[in-house]
Amino acid sequence: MEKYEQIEAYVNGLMEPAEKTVFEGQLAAEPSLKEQLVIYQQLHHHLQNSERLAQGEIALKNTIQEAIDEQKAMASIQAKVVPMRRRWLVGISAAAAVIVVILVVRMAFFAPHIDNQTLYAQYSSFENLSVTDRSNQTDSLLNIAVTFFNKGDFKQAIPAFDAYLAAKPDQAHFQLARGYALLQTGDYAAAEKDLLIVENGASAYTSQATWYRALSQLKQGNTDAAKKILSTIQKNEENYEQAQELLNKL
Amino acid sequence: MSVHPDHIYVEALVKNDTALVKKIYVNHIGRIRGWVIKNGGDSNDADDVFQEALTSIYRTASGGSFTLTCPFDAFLFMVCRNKWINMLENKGRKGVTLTDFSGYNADKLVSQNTEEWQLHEAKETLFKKKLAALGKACRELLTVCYTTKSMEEVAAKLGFSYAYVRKKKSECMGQLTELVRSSPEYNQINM
Repeated sequence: MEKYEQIEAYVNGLMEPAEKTVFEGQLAAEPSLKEQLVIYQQLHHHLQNSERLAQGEIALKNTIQEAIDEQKAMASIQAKVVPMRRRWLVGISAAAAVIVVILVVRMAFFAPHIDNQTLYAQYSSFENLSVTDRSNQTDSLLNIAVTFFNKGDFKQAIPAFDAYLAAKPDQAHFQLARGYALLQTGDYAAAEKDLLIVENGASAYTSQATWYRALSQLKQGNTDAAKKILSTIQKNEENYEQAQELLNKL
Repeated sequence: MSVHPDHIYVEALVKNDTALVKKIYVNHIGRIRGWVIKNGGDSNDADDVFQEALTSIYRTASGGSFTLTCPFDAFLFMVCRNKWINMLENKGRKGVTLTDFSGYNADKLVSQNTEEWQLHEAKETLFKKKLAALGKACRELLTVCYTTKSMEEVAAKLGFSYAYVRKKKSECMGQLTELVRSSPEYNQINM
């Protein structure tokens, strides 16, 4: 094992200059010694860092676990928040009517199909929103909406979008985002309303609105309706390739 | 090859940047969950896969030599895919045909980044396996050596002379090196 005493001294910089020169000559002449040195160095590096990495890994796992727990907690809170928001928006009687409509729609269409749900999970995404002007009160509402939206907290984002769009109804991008948020929360009727307005408007987001309307049908298990909408997306429009890909899968 | 702007997410994992790590989870868990469920798992499996994948990328990148040169989402998916294959094997479910993830483009750069990560994983696994195969006395000595500031302190802690501890350490490292060198897995890893 004398060889490994030399390697140990070399790796730790404990060799005299003359001894080091001789050893490096041996390394150049003996590939097997070079191979042993390389493995030794990597093991040395691995052992040297293992404690630090283990500690860092625990800290990172804790952060990820926090993210998992936060999302679960948010999902549970959101389930309780929805009826409150409905009352605030349209009043008790209107809310009751809306809930009845939603229940009827869900009963009529809710035929969950695992493939459709999985496809929906794969294709439903929305690029993060950004706000450049945060100077006045209206834009601060938008800022709140965007912050929640980008965090994936759609239930909290919707009321802020409601307030913002009430003041600035011509903001197609944010109306599209609210439509997407409503879709994500399962409020299909309200989502459809927003998406149709954007789709029939003159903004740059008409094609995207069509795409999300198709995803809405997909999520509700209405495969034929989804296919019909997807087939209306033209070659020159955004989402065409995704639409064709999804059509093939359906 | 140039660094991809998404390298910030790799750095976020290395530094445990809480806000960005949580953003990674929020932005990507939906698609990964959908894919895991489609391929025989459930929501909890997806969280496990995701956590394993991120900590694994952390270990690879903590060495300082890993640079992301492709989009993070495509790379993350490839790592998750590998992790899910391992989990399925551990559950005794070998040979499951997995679907591709059509939303990501697995181009050459993604493959190169994934191969680099896989090589690091394979090395780590081999080193851990051989360390576990080492005799108890050697394993304990190396643990003390690599968790103590200096060899003088190690000698004092164990009640041996400095020269003896140095000699024993090099012997144990020699044994470990030979265990690695003689293993079939070593030949498959290009060190």
